[in-house]
Amino acid sequence: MAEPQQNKDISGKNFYRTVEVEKPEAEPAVGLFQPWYPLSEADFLRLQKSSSIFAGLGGAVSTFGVSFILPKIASNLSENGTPLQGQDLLIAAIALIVGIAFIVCSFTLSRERRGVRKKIRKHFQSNPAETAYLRRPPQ
Amino acid sequence: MSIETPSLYEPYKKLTLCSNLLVNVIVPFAIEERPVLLIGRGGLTPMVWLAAPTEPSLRIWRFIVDGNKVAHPAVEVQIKVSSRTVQVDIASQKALMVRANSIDEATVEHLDLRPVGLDIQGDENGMRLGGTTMSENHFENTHVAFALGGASKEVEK
Repeated sequence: MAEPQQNKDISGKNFYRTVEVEKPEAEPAVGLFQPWYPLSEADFLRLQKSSSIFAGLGGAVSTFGVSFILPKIASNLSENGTPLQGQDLLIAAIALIVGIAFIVCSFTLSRERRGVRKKIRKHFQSNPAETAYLRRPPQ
Repeated sequence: MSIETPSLYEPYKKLTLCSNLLVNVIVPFAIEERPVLLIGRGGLTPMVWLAAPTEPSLRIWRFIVDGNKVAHPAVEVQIKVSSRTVQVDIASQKALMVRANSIDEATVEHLDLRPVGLDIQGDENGMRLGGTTMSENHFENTHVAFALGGASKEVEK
């Protein structure tokens, strides 16, 4: 290990050869070593995609709700139609709510998106930023 | 010592490095025969190369600024033609500010290499490397001004 460097002031001198000094070390900036996550375009598209199963299910259920209630509303509005029953409204409301819930979930539950997020999380867990300098072997 | 430099690099005849004048010096700072900082002629503004360690053992250095081009996500390079300056920021810390005075001369007005792991700081009045301050010195006709690493020995006339 080197001897402690004495504080020196060098001023107004001429040098015609290379000055060799002990490498003065400092702690590098946080983030200098943390490597980028290599996001391929394929992974990027996976991140954007929603789960098609849930989207499909949600679509089917809400379609059912709408197609169930619309004729009943129509006949209710016409002159000698049957009045709207509370039960029907309930069924349609539940179907619509469930359908929309499925569609919303399709954005969060996509299996492929989860796969990519897991890869990204693993990358940064195994490549943390600031502790990189402290793990350096002693010299 | 002869160090390989990039093909686009044309050193200034006179480079004032934080008040120290370097005349016909090719490489201001080198580590283990590789350049750390190069300031060359680039038309209206200087053209900068700056290397940094790229992994925790600090053994492999690569250019994070490559001929004024950014080569690392933490680095920002600002080129201002109107003031003939190039400024390099690393992780939002100002690391280098250099101004072209003419085709053949440039001045480093601000230097802070701590973000790349070197305790070297300077401004227009002088420069500090670790515990040594250097101001208004004159380097001439050497390939490398400062070689960092190894035991401290200076050769001067």
